Amino acid sequence: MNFEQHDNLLLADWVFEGSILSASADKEIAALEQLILQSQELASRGLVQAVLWIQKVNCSDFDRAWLDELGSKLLRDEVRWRLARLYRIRKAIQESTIPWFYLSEKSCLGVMAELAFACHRRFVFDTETWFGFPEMAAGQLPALGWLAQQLQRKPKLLDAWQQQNTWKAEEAVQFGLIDAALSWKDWRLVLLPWAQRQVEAWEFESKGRPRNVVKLPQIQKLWADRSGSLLARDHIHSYTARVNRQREAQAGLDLELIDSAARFMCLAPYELWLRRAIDRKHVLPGRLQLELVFFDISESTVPISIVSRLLDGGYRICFFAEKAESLRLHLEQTLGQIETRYHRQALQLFDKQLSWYVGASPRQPLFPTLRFGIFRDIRFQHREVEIRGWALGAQSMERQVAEISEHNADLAFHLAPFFEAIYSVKAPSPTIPLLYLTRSLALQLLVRFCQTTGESMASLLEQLRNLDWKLLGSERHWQKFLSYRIGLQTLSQIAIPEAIGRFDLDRDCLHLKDWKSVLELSAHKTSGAYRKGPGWLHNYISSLAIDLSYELFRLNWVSSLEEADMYVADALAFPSAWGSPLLYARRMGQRRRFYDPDTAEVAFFS
Amino acid sequence: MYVYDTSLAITGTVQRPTAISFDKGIQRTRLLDSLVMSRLHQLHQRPELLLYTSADGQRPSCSQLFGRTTVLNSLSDLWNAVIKEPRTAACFAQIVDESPLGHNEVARSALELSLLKVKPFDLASFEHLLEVQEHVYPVKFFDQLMIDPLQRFIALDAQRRRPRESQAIRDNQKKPLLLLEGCIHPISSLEVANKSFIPAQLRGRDCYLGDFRKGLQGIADLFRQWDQWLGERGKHAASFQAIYIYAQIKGLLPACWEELRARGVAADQLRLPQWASYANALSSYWEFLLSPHPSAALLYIPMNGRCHFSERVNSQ
Repeated sequence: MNFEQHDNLLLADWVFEGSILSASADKEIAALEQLILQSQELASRGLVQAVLWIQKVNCSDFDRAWLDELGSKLLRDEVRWRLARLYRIRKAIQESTIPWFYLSEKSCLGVMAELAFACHRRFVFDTETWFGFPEMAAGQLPALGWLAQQLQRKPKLLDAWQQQNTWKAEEAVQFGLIDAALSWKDWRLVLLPWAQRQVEAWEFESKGRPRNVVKLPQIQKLWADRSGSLLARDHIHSYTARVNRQREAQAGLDLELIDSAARFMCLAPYELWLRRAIDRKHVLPGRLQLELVFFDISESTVPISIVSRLLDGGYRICFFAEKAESLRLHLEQTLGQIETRYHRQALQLFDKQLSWYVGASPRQPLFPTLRFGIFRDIRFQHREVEIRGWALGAQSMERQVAEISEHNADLAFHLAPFFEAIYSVKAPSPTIPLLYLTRSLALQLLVRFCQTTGESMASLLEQLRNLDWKLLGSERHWQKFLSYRIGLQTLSQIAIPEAIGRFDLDRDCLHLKDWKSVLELSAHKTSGAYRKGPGWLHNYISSLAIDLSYELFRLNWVSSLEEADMYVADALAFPSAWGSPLLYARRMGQRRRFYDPDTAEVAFFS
Repeated sequence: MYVYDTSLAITGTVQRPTAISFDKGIQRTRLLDSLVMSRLHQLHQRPELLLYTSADGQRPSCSQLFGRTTVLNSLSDLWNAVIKEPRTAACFAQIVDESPLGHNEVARSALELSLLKVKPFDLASFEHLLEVQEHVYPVKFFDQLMIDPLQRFIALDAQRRRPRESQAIRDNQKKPLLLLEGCIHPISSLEVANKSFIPAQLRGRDCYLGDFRKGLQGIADLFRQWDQWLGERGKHAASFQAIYIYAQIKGLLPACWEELRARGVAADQLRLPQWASYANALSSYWEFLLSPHPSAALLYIPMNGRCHFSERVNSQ
C-alpha cells in the first residue's frame, strides 16, 4: 500500500491481492495504520480534507496462502490479534474527522469488505463487481464489527444478510452498501477534480452534522502499541505483551465478537469451506471467463435452467434466430419462463443481460454460441472450435447434461458453463449417439414388460410417471424418439442397431416406425415370468440400468463404472430421489434381473 | 482542419425498416444492443471501441463489453475517434428516427424560406432529382424489429398477432427508421484479422466558405474547390459511382444539383440523405462509408460554411 498527498487529498492505493488476514498482509496493515495516523495528523493541522482509498485489485479471503497458514501453523490467538488490529483500523476509519472515500473498480469480499463499508462514501466504477461477506454462508459473522454495529441498530437486517451475502454492485447500491455504482472506464483521468467535487458535496452535507473530533494525543495513545505488532509474528514471544495490551485497549473493542470469529476461523468447517471455495476456482463471482454467450434459437428454445444459471452467474445472453417468427416464438416462451421464475427486482437487473437479434449464424463466431436442435442435439461453436453432441434428459428438466463424442473430450470445458455434466463417451458409430442405443434398449424392455404381464402400454406409462420416471413415462418423448430414429436410419442407412449387451429382448422393436406400431406390438401376449406392479417395474428397469453400466464399462466406452452409472442414470432420467441405479441397488442390497426369471432375486454383491 | 488520407476496412449494413414509434429509453437501448450484438457475433477480432449515436444520449447496455465507448455528436467526433487515434477495431451503431433539426422546426423553415427569396433556383429539375431518389433508395418494409404495445422490443409480425391493434399502429405511428451498424478495421491489423475485408482508401479535407446564414453565395466556389481537389489526382465528378450530399440547409440542394448537372452527373449517381428531413450528418457519412459502390464521394455542407470533401475508393 502506498499513499501520497495531492493538495487537500490523501490518495492511497491498495494493491495487495491476498487475504488481509494472512501473515503476508502484515506489512500492508502497518502501512494502513501509518496512513490513518498521518491523515489525522494532517487533518488536525487542516492540510488534508479527505482520504481517497483506491482499491486496485480484487480483494477476498479466498487466498491459498491464508488457507495454508490456517491449515498448518496458525494459532487462535494469532487470528484474534490480527482481527483486533483490523477492528481498530475499521473503527479509526469510521470515526475519522475527515471523510474516507472508497473507490474501486474491482470486487471486494470478506474481511476487507468491512473496511470498505466503513468508509464514509463508497463509489464503484464497474458494475460487474461483487461485494459482501461470502463467509456468512458458512455461518461466520463478519468480525470487524461494522455489520454487528448495523445489526445493533436494525436487527431485522440479519434476515436480508442471511438470504444474500454477496451483492452485485448495482444490487449493493439498492441495499445501501455502496453510494454509487456505474461503469466508468475513464474515471482515473478526472479523479482529482471529481474528488474535489465530492469533498465539496461532503462539506455541504455535513454542515449541520456534529463532527468527530479526535485530538492528537488520543490518537497517539490509540496507536502507541504499533511497534508491538511486529512481535505478533512470533506467537510465543509476544503472547504476554499482547494480553497486557489488550487489557489496555479493551474499552474500544468488541472482544466477544473477535473471540468468536477467531474461534470460528480456526475450526475445521471454516477451513473446509475455504478450501472448497478456492478449489472450485470460485475466486470471485465477478471474475468470469466468458461474459457473453449467444444462443441460436432457430429450431428450439434453450432450457430455462441453463438460461437461469447463466443469468445468475452474471453472463450476458444474446438470442438470435434466422427468422423473426421463430425468434419471437421461442423468445416469448423463454422470457415468460424467466418472468415466472424471478422476482421483479431481479428481472430489472436482467434487463441489461438479455438481448436478441434476427440474423444468420456466423461460421466462426467470436463468442461462444450454442444451438439446440429439434431432437435435443446440440452444436457449440466458438471461433474455430465446433462441438456436436446430444443433451440427455428433457428440455424442462432442471438438471441439464450432455453427451459428446470421445474425440471432443479435450474440448468439454467449453461446455462447462452450460451443462451440469458432460459425458465424453465412445459410441459405436460417429453418427449414432450412445444415448440412442440406451433409449432403444429401454423401449425394448417396456414392450417386453407389456407382453409378459399383459398390461397395456398406457397404464405402464402411467405407472412410470407415478414412480417419477418422467422421461420414460412420457408418450410424447417416445413419439419424438421414434421420429428421430427413423430420420437417423434413413440418413445413415442403419437397418438395425446392434444391441449393446446380451440382453434377451425383442429385436423387432428396433424396426418400429411409429408409436402406433409400438402399441400394437406390446399388445401381443407372450409367456413369461414377469411380475406385475410398479415396484417390480422399477426394479426391472433399475436392474437393466445396472447391467448396462457394467456392459458399458466392460466395453471400455466409458472410463469408470461410476461414470457409466451416472451416464445411464442421466440417459434414462432415473428418479432423482433414488440417486443412481447403483446407489439404489447398493442401498437395497439386492436386485431383480429381468431377463432371468428363475433367479428373480439375486443378491447384488454375489 | 481535417486533412486525411488513410486506409480502412469497413463492413456493415444499412437497414431501413419501418417500426412503430419509440416511446423512450429502453427500446432504443435494446435496438442499439441488437445492432451491436449482430455485428459483434460475426467478427474475428474483438473491437475495443464502441461508437454510437443516439437521440436520447443513453448508452447501450452492451457498452460494458467494450474497453471504451464514445458517443458521437458530430463528424469531428468520428474523425477524432477513428482517424486520429487508430485502434484495432471499432464497432459502430446508430438509429435515426428523428432529425436533430427537423423540417417542422419553425426557425429553420423560416430561414430556408428567406434564403430561397435571396436567390430562387430552378426547382423543376430538383423535383426530377427527388423523384429519382425514391428509386435509388428502395425502402424495404421489414416487420422484424418492432416494439409491441407492452413496451417490449420484440421481433414479430404485428399484423398477424393482433390484427386490429397492429392496424391502428400501422396507420398512426408507422415511422421509417434508419439503422446503421458497422465495424472499422484499420489496415495495419487487416492481414491478421481477416483477408475477406476489402481495404478502402479514404481521403478528405476541409473547405471554408462564407456563413450560409448570411446568403446563399458560395456554392459555385465550393464546387470549384472540389474540382481542384479532385483534379490533383486526375479525377472529376462524373468518375464516382455515387455522390453523397449532405446540406444542412435544404435550400442549397437545388444549387448543388445544378452544379453537378453541369459536370455531367446523372441523377441516379447522386444520393441525397435518406428522408431529407430525418437524416443528420453522421448517418449520411456512414452511408457513404458503407456504400456498396467501389468509389464514392461525399460533400458535407453545414450551415456555418465549414464544408468537407471526402472520397472513398476500394483498392481491389
